[in-house]
Amino acid sequence: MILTETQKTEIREFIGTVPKYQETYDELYDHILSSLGTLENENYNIDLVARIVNQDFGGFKKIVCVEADYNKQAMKNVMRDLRQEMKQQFYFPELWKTLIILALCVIIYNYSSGDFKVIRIIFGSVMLASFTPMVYYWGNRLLFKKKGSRPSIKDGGFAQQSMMLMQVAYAPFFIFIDKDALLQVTYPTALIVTLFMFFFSSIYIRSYFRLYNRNVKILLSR
Amino acid sequence: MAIRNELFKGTLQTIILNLLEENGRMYGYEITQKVKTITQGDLLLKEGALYPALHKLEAEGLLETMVEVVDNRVRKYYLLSEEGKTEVVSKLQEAREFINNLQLLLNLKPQLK
Repeated sequence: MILTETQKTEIREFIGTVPKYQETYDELYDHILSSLGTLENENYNIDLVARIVNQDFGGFKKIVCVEADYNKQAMKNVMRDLRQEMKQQFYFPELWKTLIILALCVIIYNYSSGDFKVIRIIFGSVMLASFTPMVYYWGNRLLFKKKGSRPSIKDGGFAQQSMMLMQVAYAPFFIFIDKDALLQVTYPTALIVTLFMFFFSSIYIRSYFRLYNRNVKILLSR
Repeated sequence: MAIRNELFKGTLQTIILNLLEENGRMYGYEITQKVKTITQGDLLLKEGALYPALHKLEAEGLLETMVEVVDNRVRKYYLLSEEGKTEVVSKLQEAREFINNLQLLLNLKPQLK
């Protein structure tokens, strides 16, 4: 069966309100069109689409349930993929950038003045940078919403991970760096903690952006 | 004679992994049709069971996905990850052992020959 554009639009409208996420919608739509494409002796009717949805997928309710389960798994996938992406920063071609950051840390450590102000400035920049994944995520999210795109199934995972660095970055500041820090440490120790956070946040932010662009931005910007 | 789907639910993941090993990459509808063709219609793999299984395998890192635009629509292909390529071997071995035991338990061997 060859479908006209009007018939395809009718199918899109029929299934359009059910899947919440772009991936589920794409998979359902492709499945229905593939299925209809193999029917040779039947004329198109929207009831045929309803039959496919009910018989093959178990109805719209079942699709919603499957999507909810998929969403939970996708959250875990984002965490796993982000860890994997962070490991990739230690392999070529990304290793070059990591080595440059590491070299910068070594230079700062060897040539710093011994003034705690320097540490607070570096740590302040780390804390500011920790907001960038969240700003990037919500900026793109609003952009896609404006364009009328559905959210990606991975959106929840990316939203969760966009806040992770903020949570991680603040604790060492109040433990080691702040004027009223819980632990009073020597300048070199405080500098090592600061540079470690600087290094870690650079790895995290680069990994987050790369993974987001590969998974969500490309998918939703079509 | 159509086989009750409950009988192959436990081996659904093995079936999917094996099909992907043999065919490289496949999309959801293609998998259902392949199962139907191979079993001459005896086994009907419903989409309501297939997609949760595919998503689970993807979450476990055994499958990877890629999307392509085909006839102006997005098609999601599933393929084995490196981990999946290893897993399919042990899953098949597990299935073989299970079938052997089933043959012994149900005395099916004479019929199968």
